Amino acid sequence: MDQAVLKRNRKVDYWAKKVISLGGVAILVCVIGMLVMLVMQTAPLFLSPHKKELTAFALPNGNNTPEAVALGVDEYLETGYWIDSVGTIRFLDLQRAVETDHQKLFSGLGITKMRTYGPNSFSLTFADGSAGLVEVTFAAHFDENSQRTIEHQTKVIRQVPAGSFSQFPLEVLIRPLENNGMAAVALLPGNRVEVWTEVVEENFLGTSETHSFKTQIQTDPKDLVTALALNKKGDRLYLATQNGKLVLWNLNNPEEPALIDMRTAFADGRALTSLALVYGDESLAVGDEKGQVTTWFMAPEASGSPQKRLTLIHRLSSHKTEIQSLVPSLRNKAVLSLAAGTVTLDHMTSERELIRFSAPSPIKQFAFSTRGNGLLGLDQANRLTLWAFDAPHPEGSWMVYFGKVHYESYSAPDYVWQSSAGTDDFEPKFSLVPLIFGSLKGTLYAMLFAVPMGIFGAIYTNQFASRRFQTWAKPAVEITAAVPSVIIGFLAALWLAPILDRWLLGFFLFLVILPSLTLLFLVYWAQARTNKKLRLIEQSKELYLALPLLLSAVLLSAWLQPQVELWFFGGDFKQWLYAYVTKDYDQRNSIVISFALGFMVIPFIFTMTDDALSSVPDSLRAASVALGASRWQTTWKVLLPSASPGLFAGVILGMGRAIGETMVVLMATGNTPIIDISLFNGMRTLSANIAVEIPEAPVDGSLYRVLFLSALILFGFTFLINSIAELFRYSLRKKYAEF
Amino acid sequence: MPSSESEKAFVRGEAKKFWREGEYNVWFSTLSIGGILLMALTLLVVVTINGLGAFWPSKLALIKLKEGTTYLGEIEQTSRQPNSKEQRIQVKIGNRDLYSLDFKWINLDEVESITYPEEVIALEREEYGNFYGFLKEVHSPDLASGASGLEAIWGLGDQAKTNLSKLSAELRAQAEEMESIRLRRLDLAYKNPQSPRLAGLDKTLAEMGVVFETQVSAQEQAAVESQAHYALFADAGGREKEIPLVKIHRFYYPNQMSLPAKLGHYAVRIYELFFTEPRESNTEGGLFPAIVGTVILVFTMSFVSFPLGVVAAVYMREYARKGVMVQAVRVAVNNLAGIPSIVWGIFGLAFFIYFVGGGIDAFFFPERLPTPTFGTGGVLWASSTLGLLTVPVVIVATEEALGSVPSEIRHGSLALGATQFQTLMRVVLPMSSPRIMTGFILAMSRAAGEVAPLMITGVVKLAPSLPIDLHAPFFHLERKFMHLGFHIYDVGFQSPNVEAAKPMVFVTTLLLLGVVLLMTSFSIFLRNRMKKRFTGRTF
Repeated sequence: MDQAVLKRNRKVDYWAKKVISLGGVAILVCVIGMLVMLVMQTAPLFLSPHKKELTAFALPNGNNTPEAVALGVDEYLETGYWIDSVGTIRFLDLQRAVETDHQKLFSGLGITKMRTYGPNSFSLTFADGSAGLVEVTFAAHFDENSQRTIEHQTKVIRQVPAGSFSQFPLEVLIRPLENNGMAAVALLPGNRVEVWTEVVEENFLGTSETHSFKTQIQTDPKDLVTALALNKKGDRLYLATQNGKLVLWNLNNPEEPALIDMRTAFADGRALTSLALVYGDESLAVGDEKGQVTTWFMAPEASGSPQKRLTLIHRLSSHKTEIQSLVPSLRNKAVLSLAAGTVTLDHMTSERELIRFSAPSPIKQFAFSTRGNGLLGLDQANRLTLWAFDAPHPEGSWMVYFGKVHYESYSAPDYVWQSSAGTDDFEPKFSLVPLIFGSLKGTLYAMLFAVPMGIFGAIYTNQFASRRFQTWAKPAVEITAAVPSVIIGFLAALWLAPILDRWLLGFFLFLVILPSLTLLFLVYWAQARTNKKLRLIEQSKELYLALPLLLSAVLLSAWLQPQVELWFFGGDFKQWLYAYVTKDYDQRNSIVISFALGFMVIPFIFTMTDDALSSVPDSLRAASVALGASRWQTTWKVLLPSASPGLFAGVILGMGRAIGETMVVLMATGNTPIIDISLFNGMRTLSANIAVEIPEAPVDGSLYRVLFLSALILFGFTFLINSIAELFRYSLRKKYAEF
Repeated sequence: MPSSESEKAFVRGEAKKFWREGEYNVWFSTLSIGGILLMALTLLVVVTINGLGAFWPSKLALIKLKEGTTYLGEIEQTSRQPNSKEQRIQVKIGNRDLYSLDFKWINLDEVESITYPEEVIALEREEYGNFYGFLKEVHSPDLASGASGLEAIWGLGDQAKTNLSKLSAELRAQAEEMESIRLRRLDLAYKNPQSPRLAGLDKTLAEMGVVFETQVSAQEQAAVESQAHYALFADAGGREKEIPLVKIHRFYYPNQMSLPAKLGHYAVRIYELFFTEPRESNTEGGLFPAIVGTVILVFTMSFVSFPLGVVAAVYMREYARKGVMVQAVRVAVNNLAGIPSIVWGIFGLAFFIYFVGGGIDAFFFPERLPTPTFGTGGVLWASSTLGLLTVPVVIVATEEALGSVPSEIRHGSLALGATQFQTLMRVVLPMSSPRIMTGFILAMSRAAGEVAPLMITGVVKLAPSLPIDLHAPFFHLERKFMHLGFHIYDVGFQSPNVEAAKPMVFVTTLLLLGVVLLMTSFSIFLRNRMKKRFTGRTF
């Protein structure tokens, strides 16, 4: 033969081998790649946040310059500013460390006290007894070449004139109200607290009238007020005292403040040193002299009690010394705390300490950027330092995903899934427990139906049925496996669910009637089968009698429903259910799921059981029958135990199918993430949750990654299940390998 | 009774034997398989009856109530009120624009009479669903004097409709051309902002914009003119309604129709189902884009799934030596088969769309960013995802097929001096090809019915354009697409009027179920015939 041809053939063969091996490996790569991809998308949830020092420089002025009372930084971390004690605001270009602009606030009165509600908004108290609310805003502009310039603007939003309070205030908090009104709370000498409210009302002529009110808040003269917090709407005032009291006042009626709650925060009566309202104004962050940061909100004292009191909800970081200041983030539920020069950033919901650090020289002033991505600090040595924070997923932790969390406005800690709501200050609730529970619940009910049906059906088809029946019944069941799940889901939700809703009692009657009818039939059959001709039916023709039996049970249940309903349930079964069994009956309930998912799973169990029974050698069967066992005894006591690994494999594979099935549960359950095993309501499963939520999840956001986490959990579930099934199948194969 | 004692003992013995032998369990297992088959049959029957019946023109009943009101509509079903003996009927009364309800429940004991007047007319409209009522008069500037009846001016309306659709097609073509020039300009400007050709393109665009504006105004003009042909109808209660002919899709007199006429009507509806676009947010009209989308999806998926599956199976059966590697691949295949489809979907989203697609965009279409080209869901990514999802089906079928080829044949080929690859290509694969084909068909039918991963990777409710058309490069795999399965979910669950949309959902269901079941049964039939030829252990 031509050597060239041979050579070429060998070459082709060599390369073909390479390519084909590569193809085999590709499958392996595919599975591993999938796992890696899922893990990669999930991992950032659990990475610890980090900070980076961007720049540091000393403030440019000498010794005799006024002290800084406030700092601020824009969200791009480019422009910073500081307000000094004589009321000058100075803007700095942080990258070049130069002052770019300065302006006098309120014609240069000396500032005696500064309070901040959030970044870039300051309540300033002046030396002449007046006060003002100042806001610094930054606006980014883009020119044609997409170059960014940031413009800053300083605005005095509200001003409380001197003499509004009965004494010179030590500290004033101002909140703007609608129509130019405002609420101002002042701490006066002698431990007095005064509220000054200005309400602007527009009458029907279109002119506005201004009413101002001044009221005293009762305080214990011996118990020094150490911190104040006023919410954005100006109707809730929180006080913290030297003796550890936490007080909440309702300022809804400006003339008559009402005490909502007063309690000693900690049993040891430690002094409270700092207060701040967490973003959303539901929760109050409290810092105490022992360095503990905690958050509180109004919740029932004990579960079930109607009375709400300020309750300790989350314990955040603890420092060694007293908390000097607390600043909330305006992005999420994070709180920044400062104690003895150490700064920590904690997220309230997840109770995660995101960042903790102390600068070489203790920090005395700091400012949080609006986006929560940076911190500008001023230390004792008068150096300004800018840090960038990277904490993309602060709201998640193992406790949030798998544990009970006490969410805002909930009465007790609970497992909750609620990923979004209409407002920005919403607390996302990412508990995967209700979803995992939903997946398991759906699977459980599906298996309750599918396992007996599939196994018994396969036993009949494999052992007792005629060849002819086998040749069409097996493919028929196999073909039902191909019915797209979207069709089953649609039928279950829009066809089966209303029917079942109408015939609910009939369904339960059927469960009783079918077995009793069958037993009754068997009693008669025992007599009838003495007839030789009738007995021939037991030669694989049982179905001719079983089908009428089944149908008559269905008809009988339907016929009996109105009667039974009238006799036992006062004419309305659902009313009875509502009164005695469950309060939340759902048309798309677990019975529907049981049928629909069960129908999907049956073919798997059926086929695997059938295969397993076929793989048991005929000699075993022959031996059993020869020893005088009946056909059922042979099947049940000889064949089934031998085939059991295959059965288990089928059941487990079916379970894997049911856990991961998406369309059926998406359509035929109500998709409410509740934890309730009841037969009469629905669920939300991990898989349906992914389908529901992923279109609305911003890419690389927390929700997006949590959904990948749930996909990873599903992957893990099925991996486990498949491996177990494979083990069972392996043992079956090994057992009968020699036959 | 001489031996009652012994007879009793005999009966007792029989009873014991009965429980011991467990014959009753045989009956329970019979009931199980009966139940399974009955359920499958019910599913088939429900889908078939509802699906086939959806387009049948049923008679319109004029229902007069004792209190005086009258309703006109199709009687959908009769049922009993819960907890009472009263019968009630559900009537599809249509006329959504007048009543804002499509269906009404009427208690039979309130009904005075039900008649079927000959002259009632049913309109299928372009919006607001069906109209049932009576024709009063027709208006048209071009109406021949003395002519009356809807038939007389139907031709005029038809003309106006063709005219309008022609204008719209022109508009669309113009817009598409402008878009392609705009993209070219974008590309040019990105590569070389100083290119002298930019000005030329800008000029062309501006000129085309002027043409576009005139076309728009011509279309508006035609739309206004078309309103001149209209007919006046009255509903059962005598409320009058003017409906322009262009808004009427079809009219018929259901109570006058003979059986052949009904069959003809049915045939036209079926034709429309397969070859026209959907109307009224998918609840009426055809399925053409969804059918095309599904077919393209399945075929594109084949390009991923078939080669990968066959090669992997060949590797495991023919090439791999027993060892850790082949064991690992086997475990991988088993796990691939068990991974839930939604997990595939989310994987496709992260890997294909954001990673691969985003990469393609950054490299090849940077000028269009931030508008994504491949970095968003589309046919290509959906079918790649489905392709990986169906690989195990192909692998299992191919492995079985290869296993069924006797090894003597391989040895014979090798002994004659053929290389392993030649043996594979010339002997083994041709012999096993029929069974491999069954695997392909199974994979395609699985892919056709899978919806969950598509929802994440690019299926849409209404795609503006097909993924295949007459503009180069003909296949636009980056486009979003419609799909029969998603159509079922979307129309059945997301449409504003689920009850009115049900017939359409059942038709779609019947179509999808038919296609999937036919493909599956064909492959199972083939496989079973093949099994007889080469018997091999499947376990």
